[in-house]
Amino acid sequence: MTLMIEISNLLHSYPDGTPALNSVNLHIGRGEFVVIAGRNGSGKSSLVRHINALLLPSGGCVSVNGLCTSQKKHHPDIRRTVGMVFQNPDSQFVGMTAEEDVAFGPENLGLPPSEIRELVEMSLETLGISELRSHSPRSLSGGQKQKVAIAGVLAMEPECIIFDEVTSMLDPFSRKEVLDTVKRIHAKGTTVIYVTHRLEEAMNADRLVIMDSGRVVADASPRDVFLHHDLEKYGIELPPVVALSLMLSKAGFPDIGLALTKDELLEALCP
Amino acid sequence: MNTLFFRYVPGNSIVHRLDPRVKIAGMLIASISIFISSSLREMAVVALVFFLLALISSISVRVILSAVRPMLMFLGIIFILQLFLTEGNPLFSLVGLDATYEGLALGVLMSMRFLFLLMFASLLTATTAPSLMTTGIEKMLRPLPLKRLGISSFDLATMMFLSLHFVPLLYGSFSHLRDAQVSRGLDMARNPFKAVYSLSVPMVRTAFISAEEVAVAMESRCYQGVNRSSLNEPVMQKNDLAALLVFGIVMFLLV
Repeated sequence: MTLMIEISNLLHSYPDGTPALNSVNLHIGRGEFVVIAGRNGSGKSSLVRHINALLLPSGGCVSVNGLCTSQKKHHPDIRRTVGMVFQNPDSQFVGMTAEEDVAFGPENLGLPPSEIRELVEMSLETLGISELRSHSPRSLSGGQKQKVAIAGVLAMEPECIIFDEVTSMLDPFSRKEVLDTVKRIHAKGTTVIYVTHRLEEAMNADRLVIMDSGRVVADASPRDVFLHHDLEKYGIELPPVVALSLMLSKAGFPDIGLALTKDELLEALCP
Repeated sequence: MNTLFFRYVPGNSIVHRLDPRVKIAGMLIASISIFISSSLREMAVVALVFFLLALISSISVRVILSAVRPMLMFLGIIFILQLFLTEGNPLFSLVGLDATYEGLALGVLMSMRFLFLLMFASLLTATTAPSLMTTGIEKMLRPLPLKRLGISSFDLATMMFLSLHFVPLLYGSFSHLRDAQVSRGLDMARNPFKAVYSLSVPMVRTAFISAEEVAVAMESRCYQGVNRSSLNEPVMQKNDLAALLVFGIVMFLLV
């Protein structure tokens, strides 16, 4: 796997001097699905904003495809390579219709209208929202809004997309829909960095990175993280299935081991 | 607030399909004619042209009225000031102030001017997609030597576009704030000054926060304020220029 994002010894302090990120090291390869989790204020959102060059390091280095974020001339290339979807879709819309909003990114790249049109069609179709093209993004439901926001990033054809707590304002049904969309985008070869505090959403990830007080405290496959780290110490709730399977195996059913999904647990209970 | 306020109403009329630059230029011509028209007869011509255009573009009366409604008080004040403060033949007298015939005519004329200015503007926004409007403004500004002032035509057009975009956004946060304050015991009717204070301070704060959020989101989508293109690139055609010419001649000859 080729290395895409390289974060070494990253330091970041708020203007008042409080450290937000403390010597973070993280390497992300092309095509990976990385989930970053942590309680509020653990530094996960600050970390991903560095990857998009929205924040710049106070110390250390962040590079995307070998381009360092501390050099301003690289920012357009970096932002074109790494797209970002934010938590609140309402605060990121700039278009009066879904179509116009999706076109905003390609317009900024100065592409010719016919090419923009193609990109917009392609992303609306991928998200399955072609019929919403002339709706005002504000009039849509939460899940639809988030899909328009994702389409807007997809239209720039980034190699990597950061999803910053995109499901936290959604109801369970829309959450599942958006998560399925994320998985589909990843399956097409896009590198995905997915920030959340709901570990249920991390089960399909290649890697689970846990942040606490501005540091990376765990970085392994979800299974290894659940087995070897006490996540409650970091203010993260275990998914019910994982918690139940761990509880059962501690309470005298060692065969059960760790189950990540309902099916795995069922299989372990009634083999 | 009515959400139709200066909003784009999609459609496929001749007016909708005109080049945005033609419509913006037309708006300028209309404003000039409105301000040089000095009699009610001339104002009637303006009104006729307006209603004809509104009819062609099949924009509903509701949309036009929604742009006017918030300004009615302002129009009323203009009318009353003109009515009482113009010298001339007395019409009637109220608490020592004399209303005059001349004042009545001038008041009607002045408030009509603002009324039609608002109505033409709402016709422009209702028939022009915001993205086309931005592109149109940008293209019209491009020949100006803005670079010497350190800004680009793209920046200016985006600023205008965003200020339109922010109206519903700010109104949304205003309703949230009002509800939050009222639910905690703010009595808007009994204590209006306290209400203004306790709503305006958090309102300004919210406005800054949302502006910051939109700016960050725009930046992350590669907005740089230079060399933007547009999904709907307007192409000026002969019909467009002809329409502008006809409109210009009608407005200047008749008014």
